[in-house]
Amino acid sequence: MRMKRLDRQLRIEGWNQDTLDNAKVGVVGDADLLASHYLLSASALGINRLIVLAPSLNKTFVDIAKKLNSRFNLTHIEGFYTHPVLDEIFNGCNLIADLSHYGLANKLLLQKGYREKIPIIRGFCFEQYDEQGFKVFTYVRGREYQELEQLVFPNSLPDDHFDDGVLDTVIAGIVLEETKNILMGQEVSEDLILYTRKKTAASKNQPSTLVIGSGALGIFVGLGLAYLGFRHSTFMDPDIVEETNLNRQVFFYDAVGNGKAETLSRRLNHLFRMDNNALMTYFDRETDIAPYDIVFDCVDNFETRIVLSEKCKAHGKTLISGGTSADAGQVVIYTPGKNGPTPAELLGLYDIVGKRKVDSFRRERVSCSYQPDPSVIMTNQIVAGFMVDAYRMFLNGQEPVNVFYDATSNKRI
Amino acid sequence: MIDVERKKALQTDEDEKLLPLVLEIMPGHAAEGLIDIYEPGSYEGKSLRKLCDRTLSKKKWSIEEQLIVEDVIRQREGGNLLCRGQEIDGTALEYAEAEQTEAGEKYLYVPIRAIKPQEGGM
Repeated sequence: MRMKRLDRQLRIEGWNQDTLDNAKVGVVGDADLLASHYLLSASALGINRLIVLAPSLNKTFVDIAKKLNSRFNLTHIEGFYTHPVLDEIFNGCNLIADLSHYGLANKLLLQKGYREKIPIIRGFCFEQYDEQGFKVFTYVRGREYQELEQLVFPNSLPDDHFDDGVLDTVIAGIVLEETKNILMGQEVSEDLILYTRKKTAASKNQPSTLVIGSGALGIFVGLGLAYLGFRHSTFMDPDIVEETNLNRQVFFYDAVGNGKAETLSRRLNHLFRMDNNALMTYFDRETDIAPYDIVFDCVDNFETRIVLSEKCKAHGKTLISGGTSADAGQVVIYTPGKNGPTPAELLGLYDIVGKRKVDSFRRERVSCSYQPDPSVIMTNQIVAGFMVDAYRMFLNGQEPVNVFYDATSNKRI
Repeated sequence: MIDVERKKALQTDEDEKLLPLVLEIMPGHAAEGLIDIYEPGSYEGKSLRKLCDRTLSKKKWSIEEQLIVEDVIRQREGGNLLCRGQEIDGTALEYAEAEQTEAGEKYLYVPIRAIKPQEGGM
């Protein structure tokens, strides 16, 4: 059963699940969502032992993490990392993820990393002047770069700080990617991974949103929309949940055999008091998109992506399109007023599909278990987070840019 | 391409437009790509896509450069050439940014990436 759950990542060339199974990972967090996001995704990936030092954790995420992975063993120590005497909590850890927002912990952990040769993966949100964003850097002894100065939070002691659920989703994904790289002996990013944009304000409108595809991307887009305070979305997906989905589709831990769209909608309604709807149907040329203000493309095939592009162009709808693989992904935005290319045009999807010699745009649906394409949680949560952040920028009158993520490059975006 | 001062080529003075154009075509997210230099008078008004095709069809490359060319061509099969995440549907000058080397030599720079779109999401 466990192997089936992890099947889609076991298909990745060079993947070593044993190192994840046997790893012990330390986490230092704050009274915010970031550490909880990380532990949820780590559990889905099959990292079984986590030692978390943080004042609090999100109970729902902890609960889901335990239900997703029966081997998941969490030790939560409530408090802050403010003295080296706490070092022994992390004895035997392969690495420590520092997700805190107070300088004292950052310095203590970097010292510990240097002294004991333990990798420290640092990730956090920041807000400075009129900018917001995040930084991620992997410290291993020998990398005493100038960038380390940028990793120490200005406030030495725990205090109120900027935190953002959508950015947390992305940060947790990138930190987990680095965690996996260290545990499997693969290369980590050499650079400081930096993302910034202008500050955004909460939207007062309640736009009507259509999310097409309720798999890994759809789940994290739905979660992001909940964080933004949007209450009315429609999730569309004809598929049912399969066990092989559970290494990345975190909200479906108890829903094998049930409809994806319906389960996602119901779960978000319950967790965030939303009023979402579900449509268990295919998106095709007959689908009516007139009632929606914005369309999120979270599908898994280029053929549907082409139809989505054409329909949004014809009906003047904003389209935010995401696509992922095991180690890469993209977010492409189509804004009708700008007269720019659609995602299908920009990405050259017509050529790709044309070469496949597919006669019909709707490819024959086959069960996920027979599709050998590998997939993991990280790229999906990262790309979905950028999709929602692009939407937020758009609502704030900023011009969102297309994002091309590559887990094997140093800068990532 | 290190320590450069950037500004949009179209916003520069007229005399600055008489600069060499440095076209770099990178496979995917690679940090370094294939560099081709076009002298003033050889690129103005020409389509950026055609300049890319011209660069990629050149034959005299070193072994290292030839490997990059092959990598770019591989990415391009089932992918597209993009400049800063946008399609390349204009002249090179529309996408170029003025930069200068540490030695103070000015040039126009256009970074192109051969990006293969990802299909998954479920």
